[in-house]
Parts: sequence; structure tokens; C-alpha cells
Amino acid sequence: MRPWMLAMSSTLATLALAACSPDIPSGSYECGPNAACPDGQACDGPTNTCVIASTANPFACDPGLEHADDSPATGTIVPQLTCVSPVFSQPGCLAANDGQDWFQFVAPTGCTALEVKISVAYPVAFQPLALVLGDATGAQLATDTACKNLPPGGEDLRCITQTITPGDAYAIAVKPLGMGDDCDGTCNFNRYSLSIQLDTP
Amino acid sequence: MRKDIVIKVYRDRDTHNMLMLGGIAGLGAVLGAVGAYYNLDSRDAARAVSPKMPTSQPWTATQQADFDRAHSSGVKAGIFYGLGGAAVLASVVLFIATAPGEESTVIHPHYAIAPTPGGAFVARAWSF
Repeated sequence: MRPWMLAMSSTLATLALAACSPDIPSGSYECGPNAACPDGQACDGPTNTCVIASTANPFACDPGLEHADDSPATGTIVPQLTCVSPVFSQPGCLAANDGQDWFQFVAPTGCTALEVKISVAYPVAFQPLALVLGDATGAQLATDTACKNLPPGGEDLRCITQTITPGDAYAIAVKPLGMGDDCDGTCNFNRYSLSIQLDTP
Repeated sequence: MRKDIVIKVYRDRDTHNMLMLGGIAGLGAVLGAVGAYYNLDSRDAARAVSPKMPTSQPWTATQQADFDRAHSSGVKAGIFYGLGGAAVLASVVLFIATAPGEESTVIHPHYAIAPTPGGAFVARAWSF
């Protein structure tokens, strides 16, 4: 092998070894807990994805998802469900310092036994959320636990499965978990998708 | 015509010199190998967090740890490559600088020609 060929192959080998800096294109990752993103990137509020910091937009709730629903009595009314119902899904959003969103529903009559399955899915990027099932006055009947099925990447999922009484009115609260992971208060908001289904236990 | 005879003797390197040069070169090789280790570690960590397409996965502490490892191992690789290269270069410089000298011996030839009956006597002698 000629000397110049040896020198060139050595240089190429060195360059191959030296190419060891992470190369993360914008939009490659969902934002992690506390809106975490790779260095040089920031969490884009509307999409929950890590993008080049200069292109990131702040989080904002869709105006159509904000209601005067801060008490059980004024909660969003869920359409009447049947004894064995399809899944009812409702998107929602907790803006900064919004303490809770309430939903209300009435269990159908004529069912031999009734069980409600409630779940809330939300991005892990912003503040974690919790579910509470209460009676019509909001008195707590059940709280959420981890769901059996895994949420998609970048999301968390909390569930309640509770036996309920046919004909009674109930209220569901979606509220901040209040256990941190809210960027020290700078990402104390989140959007979510609430799902409700009735079934026979 | 008289031409001097020059005898050059190249001295061997002594054992101490050989050990010193070998030690420095060996140290350079070891440091370079450590640099290569960190280089490969850095490359693996970088590849682990460098997707070819959107991952739909959140950026977690695990990815951040790989990201940090890629950077810190890359810095270590650079340092060890530098130290290793400096040691190898030093051994080359010392190899040249500590090359043992040569001894030269010059032999001066002398000629003598004396006529003899029916011919001549030629003799040659050297002094050194």
C-alpha cells in the first residue's frame, strides 16, 4: 500500500470514529415529563413535540375546550349512556391554574348491574392529571389507578372502574395530580381526552 | 593517487534508551486505545438517541443520560487521543534525538616503490 493511501485510509477511519455527536432532527421526540427535550430543542405547546427552540410555540388551550365547568353542578353534561354503552370520548384542557374540569352523567335505569369505566389520557409533557368519580354533589366515590393497558408513547393514562347504581347522577372531575412534574409551575396546564363507558360488571 | 579509507561504526542503542522509547510509544498506544474506547462508547450513545425518523416516544431521563454520555465520552476520547498522539510523537522525536552517534576511523594509505633488478618493489602501508 502506498503511503498516501495509508494516510488517507487512516484519516477516514479517524473521521468515522470521530462522528459521535447526537444528531436529533426537530420533531423526532415527544416532549418528556416537565417538557423535557434534547439540548437546543424546546417543547412545542400545540404538538407536545421537541422542536428547534426558536420555532417552539407556547401551550394554549383550544378556546372551544374551555367551559365554566369548575363545579359538579356546572360540569359538562355527558349524553345519556346505555347500560352497555359505546365509549364516549370528550377532549378537554386544563389551562394554567385551572383547578378542575367537571363532567356529569346520569346512569341509565333498567340495568341489572352497572359498572362505569373512566379513563383520561394526557401528554406526559405537562402537568400530570388525576380522575375523581363523585356523586352528584361531588363527594368522592373513587379515585384513579394505573390502567391495565399501556398508553401510547408520550402519553399517560389513568383509569377508574367502579360499580354504580342505575338511575343515580354522578360527577367526574379531571384535576391536576398536584405531585410535581409541572416544570416548577411553568407548565401547570395540560390537554386531555376523557373516555367514559358503561358496562355490566 | 592516494585515497583515505574511512571506516564508520554505528553504535547500537542501549537497553535503557530502547526501553524508554518503547515505553513512551507503548503509553501512547494505550492512551490511544482508551481514546478509541471512549470514541466508540460516545458513538454508541449518540446513535441510541439519533433517530432516522420521528420516534413517537417521549424524551426521558434515559435518552438524556445517553445524550450526556455521548458528549462526555466524546470529550474524553478527544483528551485521550491527544495525550496518546503526543506520546507517540514524543517517542518519534526522542528516537531521532537520542540516536547514537557514529565512530569514524580514517586510514591513510602509504605507498613505497623501490626498483629491484629486473623490476620494482611496491609496498603499501596504512596508518590510523
